Amino acid sequence: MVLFGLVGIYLLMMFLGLGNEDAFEDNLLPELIGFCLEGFFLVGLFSLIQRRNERDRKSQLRQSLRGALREILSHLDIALLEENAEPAKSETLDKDQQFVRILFVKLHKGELSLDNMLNIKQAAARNLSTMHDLIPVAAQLSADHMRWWLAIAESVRHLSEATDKDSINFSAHKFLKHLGEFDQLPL
Amino acid sequence: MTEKDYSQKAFLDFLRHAAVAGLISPATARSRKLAAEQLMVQLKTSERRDLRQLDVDELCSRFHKLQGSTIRPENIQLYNERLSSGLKDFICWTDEPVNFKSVEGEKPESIVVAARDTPGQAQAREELTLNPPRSPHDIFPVPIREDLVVYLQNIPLDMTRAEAEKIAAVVKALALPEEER
Repeated sequence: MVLFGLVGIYLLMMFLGLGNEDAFEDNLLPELIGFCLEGFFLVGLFSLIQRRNERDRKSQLRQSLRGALREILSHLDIALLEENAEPAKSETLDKDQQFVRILFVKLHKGELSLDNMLNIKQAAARNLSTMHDLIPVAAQLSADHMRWWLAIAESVRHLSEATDKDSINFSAHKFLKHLGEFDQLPL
Repeated sequence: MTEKDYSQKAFLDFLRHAAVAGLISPATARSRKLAAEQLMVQLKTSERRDLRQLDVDELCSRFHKLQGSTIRPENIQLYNERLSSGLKDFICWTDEPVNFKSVEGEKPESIVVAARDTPGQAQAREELTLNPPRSPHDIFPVPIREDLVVYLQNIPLDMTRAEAEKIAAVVKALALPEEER
């Protein structure tokens, strides 16, 4: 696109530089300028369409990855829910980046009950293999996405293997922190 | 004497009235109403007429079967608790409005019991919950010294002699050379 633009401008300058009265007769330059203009717009249009498709595909991939964490996030949400508050919607769990930050703050301030810890630990164990299976999907997004996904998978593994309160709290903090970083990565 | 009304409509009216009259907090009433709205779509006609016949656990499993994944299982559990306590209050209030006392604020039995634990008991409870002992049938204790027992785990029932020798070889490789002992 840039090439077409530059060549077009160069040809236009040449054409204007000629400055004779019969500039449009027996001259290939106007034809070439038209060709460059067509190229500029068509290539630009296709590039835009392609970029948008790529962005949509990547955002769908990221959403699939977030979807794999829905059960753990949902258990964390229930565990940290204030009295009489409504649990988060599935859409929030899958898409909302702010939600992870809120959970992190709540976890920092509050304390998980034993039953909730067990639920989170079991959810982590159930989802661990899926998370490993999704590493290639994360790699399709970018190397950074894959690195943070690996970090998330590692914290989920720690959660599933934790055998005391402190290690569950620590792993849950790590999990939310890594997920927050993963969400911040540009597509 | 008028017949007492235990219908679904009476329940929803009770939630509205209880919040206005200050019998329960408006936030509790709202959360119970939302739970009722979510779960009570699966009520049978007889249950709709008389909520005393309703088994909330059974309703939740029915809901899970029929509605599939419209609500996440962990949310259903939460709604179960809220609807159950709402129904308890409703039945108590309908039976004897004069002596009504809400269950709002009452903690589950498990939390009340856990709160009475000594530090040692709390530690044991934590260990049992988060790190339960494995089935004794798949762990073989091998006492090798007076104060030391080694455990073998995941031994298959159809283990061959060759496989047993393989394990023995690994264990032998871990031992210190004779001269060092």
